[in-house]
Amino acid sequence: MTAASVRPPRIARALLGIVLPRRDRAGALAELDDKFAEVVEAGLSSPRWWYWRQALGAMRPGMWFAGADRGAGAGGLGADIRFGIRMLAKTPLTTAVIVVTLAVGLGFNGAVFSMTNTIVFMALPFEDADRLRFVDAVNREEGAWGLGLTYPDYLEIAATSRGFETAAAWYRTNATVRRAGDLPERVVASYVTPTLFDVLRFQPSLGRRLTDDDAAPGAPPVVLLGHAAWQNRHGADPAIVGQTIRVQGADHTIVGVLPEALEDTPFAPELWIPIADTAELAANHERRVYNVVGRVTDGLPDSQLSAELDEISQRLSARYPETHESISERIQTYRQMYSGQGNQTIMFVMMGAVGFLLLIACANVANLLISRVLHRGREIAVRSAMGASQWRLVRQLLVESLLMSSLAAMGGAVMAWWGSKLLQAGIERTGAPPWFVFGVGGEVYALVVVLAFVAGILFGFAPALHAVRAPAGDVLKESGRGTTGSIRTRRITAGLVVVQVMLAVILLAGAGVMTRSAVNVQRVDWGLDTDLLTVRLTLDADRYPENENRLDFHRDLEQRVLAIPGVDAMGLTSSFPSRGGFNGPAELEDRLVAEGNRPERLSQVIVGANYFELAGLEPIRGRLFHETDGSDGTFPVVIEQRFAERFWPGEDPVGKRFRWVNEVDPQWMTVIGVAPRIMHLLPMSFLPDFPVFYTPYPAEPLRGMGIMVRASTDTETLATALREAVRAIDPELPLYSIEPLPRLLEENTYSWQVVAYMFTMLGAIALVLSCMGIYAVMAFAIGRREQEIGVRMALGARAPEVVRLVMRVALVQTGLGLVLGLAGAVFTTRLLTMFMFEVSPTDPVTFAAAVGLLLLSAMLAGWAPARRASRVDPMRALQPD
Amino acid sequence: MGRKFLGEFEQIVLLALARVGEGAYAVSIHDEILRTAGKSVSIPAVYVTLSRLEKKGLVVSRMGEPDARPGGRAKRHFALTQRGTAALEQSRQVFDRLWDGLELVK
Repeated sequence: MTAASVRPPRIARALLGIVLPRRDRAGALAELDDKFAEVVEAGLSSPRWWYWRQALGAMRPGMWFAGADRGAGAGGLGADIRFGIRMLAKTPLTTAVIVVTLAVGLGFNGAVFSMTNTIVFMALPFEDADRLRFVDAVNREEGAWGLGLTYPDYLEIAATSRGFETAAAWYRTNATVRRAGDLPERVVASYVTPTLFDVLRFQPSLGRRLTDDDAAPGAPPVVLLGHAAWQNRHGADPAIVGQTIRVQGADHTIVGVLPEALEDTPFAPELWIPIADTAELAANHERRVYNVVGRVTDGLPDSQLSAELDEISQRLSARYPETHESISERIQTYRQMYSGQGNQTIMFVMMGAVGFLLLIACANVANLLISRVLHRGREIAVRSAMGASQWRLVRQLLVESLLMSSLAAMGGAVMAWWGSKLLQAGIERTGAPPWFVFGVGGEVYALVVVLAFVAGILFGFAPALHAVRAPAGDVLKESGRGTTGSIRTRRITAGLVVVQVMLAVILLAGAGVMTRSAVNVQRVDWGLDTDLLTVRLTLDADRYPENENRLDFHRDLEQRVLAIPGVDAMGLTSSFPSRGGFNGPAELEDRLVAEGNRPERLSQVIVGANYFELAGLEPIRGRLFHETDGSDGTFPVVIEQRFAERFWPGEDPVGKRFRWVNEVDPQWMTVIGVAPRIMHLLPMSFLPDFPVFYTPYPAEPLRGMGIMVRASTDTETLATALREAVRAIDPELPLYSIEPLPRLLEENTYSWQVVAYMFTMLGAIALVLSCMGIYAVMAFAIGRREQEIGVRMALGARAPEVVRLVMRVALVQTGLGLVLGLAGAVFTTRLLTMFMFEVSPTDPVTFAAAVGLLLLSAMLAGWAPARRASRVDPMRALQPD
Repeated sequence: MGRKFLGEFEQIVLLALARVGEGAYAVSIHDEILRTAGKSVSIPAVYVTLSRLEKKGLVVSRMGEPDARPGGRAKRHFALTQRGTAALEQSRQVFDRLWDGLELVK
């Protein structure tokens, strides 16, 4: 290290540059640099550290201001605080505005922070949880990750992977559960391999864990209960272990209860059931439902594990080409796996929006503080001339700033708490995973306090420093009313107004776009009258093994339901509107994949013949289903209009055929009719929106179906009657998810409402804050120009002219802010396209409204001070102070 | 500005200045303090203190000749004024009298 190459540390130098008094800055730094060069040449071991010590040695407040009378000391602090409180109380409005502004900005940031904290820093409550990795799969041809693995895949990984110390598999599904003497219920159950206990490393809170014996074929059936299930359904019975419960029709013994910590994780179900490790299961290469998680060997980097997994993946593809051909696997951390693309993006968007709000708030506060300080310039000058040291003066002003910050911090804490409750309520209705809980914990309050402190210092210090260092003589000489502040100050305040207006435009534009989206979503035409009740039910395999059983059941059910007084119609369907159908790749007969065409992605909904009647649909071409369709071995399908237009524009689609491509023995399906569109999925840019076709229930009688009922009776009565109807046919069959269709639809659209609501709130607050900023700056500037105004009026200028003159200033600043804001808004609304619905990101209506609103508000804000200015009595204004 | 006493740091700087004598500047004062009193003080702090002392009339400064090497700059040289000397003397008297007869360390 040659002497020439060692430079003084930039940060230390910059710090010195800030705190040293201006006059002495150059000289002091130069002297220091000279010595630094000497020190380096003399071979001192860490010259940069020496420099830092020198710099820190100059960091005493006594250095920064003239008259370091440290003897005055700490006793003064109490006086400062008391004095500060008096001064704040003297201008209650300004003080309140500053405090509230800061509190609002801080509070909202706190609330959003609690949200992002949860989502970004999600962690599992297990020992060494960062050593856990999840595995999912992708079909490279279809391009969507998130596929599960097959059981033999898991076995292969568990057996051959050296990177994974232990691995486990599980999948969630619905199961019918029944305790002795109770009605059957549908619950969510997890089938797990016993190794899950080893991977996650926890012990049950009661009873014992699962062992390999439990998974052996033919082992006595056992389950573990989830903590919540144990508390709510079994009354937290301490003697639960050993009792029997009926799952999927078979008796299982309860051998343990899972700990509460599991409740907020993706492993939380009502029940854990061991996967029976049978030979058949190990040979089933098609059932791709398993989630795999493993604990990684200590110290192994992800790259190595990935590489190993690629190897395994290739091995599997080679071994089982029919089912694994385009499959690849990858590892994911907990956060990557479960936070979901949409959630993360909205998080960042909200953080951005709320950050803007904070900036606006800070700009406002800075403006207000500056004008406060300048109004007191004379007081400060007088005190300074009478002997108060600069440091004392600055300390006084800082104390006032910090007092306000403290109040703002308290207010902000309350707002953060309230804000996150609001967010939580909003998110809950959107169907987010149950383990998204936004706690307003210590970190959030800490953030609020820290931000408040920083804001107080930042915005209190700079103006204070400036005011106190202003040469006292100049200030006292001022003959105008109030003080001017230097040109630099005026530029700063003007700049702050421009920034505020700019940010407000961006926020308002965002709010406008989101609100329009939300309104559009509300007004969506679903394609059918949505005043229906939806019910789900699942026929279990044991008692409904054959198609005939299921068809009989549904025929019976339909009769009974239609017989219920008040019921007009009912329809059987595999999916309700807004839930989407079964997606998959398919090929059209006139565009075969074998001939080089790409498979089309389609969406299938299985319906009973009564569905179309319920929905009030008339065929556009051909016909809709009859009762008998699908029961004679043929596969008639009804396609929706979009389907026909997309694949066979201008032709008659009736008679055309297509089939799935990823099935073992796909059947050709023949189009018999075209139906009008029902919105099965909202056309969002990030959701797949494939053309829909309907197949008749008898052709593919799924066990899990839903029914929709139109009736003139109220929901309660109807629900009870439906349960009765089902019980009359099969007392062991539970009905579940009984919900009016509008509720269901709302669940899928609620997130738009929440986001739009938040943005509108932020936009409104931004508007108010900006107006306040403009008002404050205007009032201040006018006070300054009273003398000039007096002169003009004495020379014959009339009130309107004065008003115009004064408003011009406001308009120029606002105008600049608007122009910058529009540019910024165009850029930022692009970021929101993911969430917009039938609105263009540069929607002219929204932008015009935002600009107009701000312009109007700015003019109003500027008008009051302007009018006051025009009322100035020239004689008074011209008098010497 | 109404102080009756020299601050501790101000005294140290002034004393070192007196010791260095002719041509004293911030770095040479810093070196003197280090050599004689064993204290490593901050050079910018010394410089600013000297500047303040000048405002109070206890020292005067002049710009010296630029250094002989290329890019060499003119250093600011300080010297005690009469008032400065008097202030130091006064401080010393106060301390001497208070210390007189006192045995704090056994």
